[in-house]
Amino acid sequence: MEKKFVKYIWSVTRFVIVFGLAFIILKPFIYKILMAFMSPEDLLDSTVRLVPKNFSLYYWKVALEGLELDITGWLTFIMSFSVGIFQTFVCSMIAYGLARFKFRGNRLAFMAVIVIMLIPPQVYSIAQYLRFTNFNYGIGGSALNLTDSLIPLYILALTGLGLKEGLYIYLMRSFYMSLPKDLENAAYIDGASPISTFFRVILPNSRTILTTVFLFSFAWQWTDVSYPSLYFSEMAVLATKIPNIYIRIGLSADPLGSNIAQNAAGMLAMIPLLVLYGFSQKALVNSIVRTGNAN
Amino acid sequence: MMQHKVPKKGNISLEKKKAFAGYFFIFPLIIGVILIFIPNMIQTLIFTVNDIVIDKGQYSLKYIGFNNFVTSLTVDPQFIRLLAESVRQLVTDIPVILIFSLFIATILNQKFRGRLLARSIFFVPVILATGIIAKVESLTNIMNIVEVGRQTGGVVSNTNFAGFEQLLSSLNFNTGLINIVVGAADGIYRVVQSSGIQIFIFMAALQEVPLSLYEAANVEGCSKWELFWKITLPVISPQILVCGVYTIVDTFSKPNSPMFEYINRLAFAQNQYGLATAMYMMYFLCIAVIIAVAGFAMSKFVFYNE
Repeated sequence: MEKKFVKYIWSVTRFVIVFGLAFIILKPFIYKILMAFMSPEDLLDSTVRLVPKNFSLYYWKVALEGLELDITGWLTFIMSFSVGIFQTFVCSMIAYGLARFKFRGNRLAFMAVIVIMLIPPQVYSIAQYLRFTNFNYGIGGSALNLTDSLIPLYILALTGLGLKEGLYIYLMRSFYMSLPKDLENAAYIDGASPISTFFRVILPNSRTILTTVFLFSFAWQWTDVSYPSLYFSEMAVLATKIPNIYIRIGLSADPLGSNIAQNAAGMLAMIPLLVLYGFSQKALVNSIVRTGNAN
Repeated sequence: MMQHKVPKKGNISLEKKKAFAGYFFIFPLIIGVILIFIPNMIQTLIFTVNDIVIDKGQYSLKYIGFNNFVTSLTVDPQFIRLLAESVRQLVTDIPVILIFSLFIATILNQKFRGRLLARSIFFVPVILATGIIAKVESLTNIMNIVEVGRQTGGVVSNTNFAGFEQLLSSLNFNTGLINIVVGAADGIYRVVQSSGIQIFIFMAALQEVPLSLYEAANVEGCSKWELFWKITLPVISPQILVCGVYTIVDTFSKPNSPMFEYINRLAFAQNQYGLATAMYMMYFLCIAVIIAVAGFAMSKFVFYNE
């Protein structure tokens, strides 16, 4: 009887904690969306607090125009998608190599991954920037300026140095360590080489972690400002457009209205991520189960 | 490793083949580390002792010894203060984030109604609260301008809970007390926002704990409290270390932290590249020291089941 009571109390407490925190997480998004529906007059009206009196699409329109979706939207999508694919593939290769094969320098390579994960990219951002403005490895003769293109991003993604790639390698490595070895052994007995085993057996069996890493990589590239703000001067992606949305009243800027429009633009830019998240949510939760089975 | 008694010759060739495959798989990493990462780090070290002038993508260096370090530490008005501030915040944040995410991971691993919904909501910050969304002034700031600015004429509070703060002050609470309460509420928001990946890793780790251990302990008559301290915590301790280190790095490398904004302004608005690099280096050394100390302290408690 007493045990049942304690259990009941706990389930109520748990509900309050979980959904209270869920509210804290969602609150800013709810506010931002509600605020963006206000009309400019509502901002001056002190009786309007959160829910707008005169619904208006004014700020959404400003945001939409400011984003220039037809150009920026595509560029952002191409960038995030291709980088996501490259990073997912390269990280799964590296992680599989680290997790399953014994060779000289394995530990050293894993240490390198940890070090890459630990050093904030800002520390060497200037050196890296100059490397790509004078890209020259003594092959082509004259140095190339690779800014205002996606090439530096691709080079970094393909060599395991892209945004947060150390973390992805780490996560995937623990996933591969947990994968039963029977699958591979069966393939080896059939005479398959390790490389073809990776492509034919391992990749199809690691769909959950591949989806998870692709989701992270796509979403973080999509919202990233550190790379585009440094390397793009003429090209623009959604993340660099958002802070530049300003509303002017006559000659002076309207800071409050601009801020609302920027937040509305941010919400608009997040829609594709929410859609993607909706689709991959199950894989994300499932990969939690798998990543944890490293024994 | 998984081979039984195979004739010796075949064994060696398979081992060799596998070692070769290992190098093949990590080849991209080798290229990246040797051709890009290590040169970047060396270049960065060179930059710290030079004055850099950049003109149309070309740059020239002028050796000035340790002047950049001396300037950052003695002449620069902000650096020391910002550094101390970020270290202080980090030291208080790490334990809170770790305990919080472990707690949430434990809850989310239990079976209850709406678990799927709760799990999806807790991962929303991982996807959305990064990069630009964190950078565009949070709405709560707008709310402040609206709420506070309307009445006081421009005194804008820095917290996310301006309305709450006002409520307390209208009830004649002591200002110091208000600051503590509002600070805590603001802290919860920040902690929730930065615990996403940690919750993810802990949830995975918790599922790793072998059920047989719990069953055995139950037979011995352990209480739930004992189960947590004697079984769960030791088994997941390697992930606690990982999460701790990740938290430190993540907190330190947030692009919208005041420290980075200050250094970036120096570098890209005032073209003080050498000075900025030296500051980055010192900032990073601070992280390295904290990671080393925290890692060493935590590794004392890490238990490897091997």
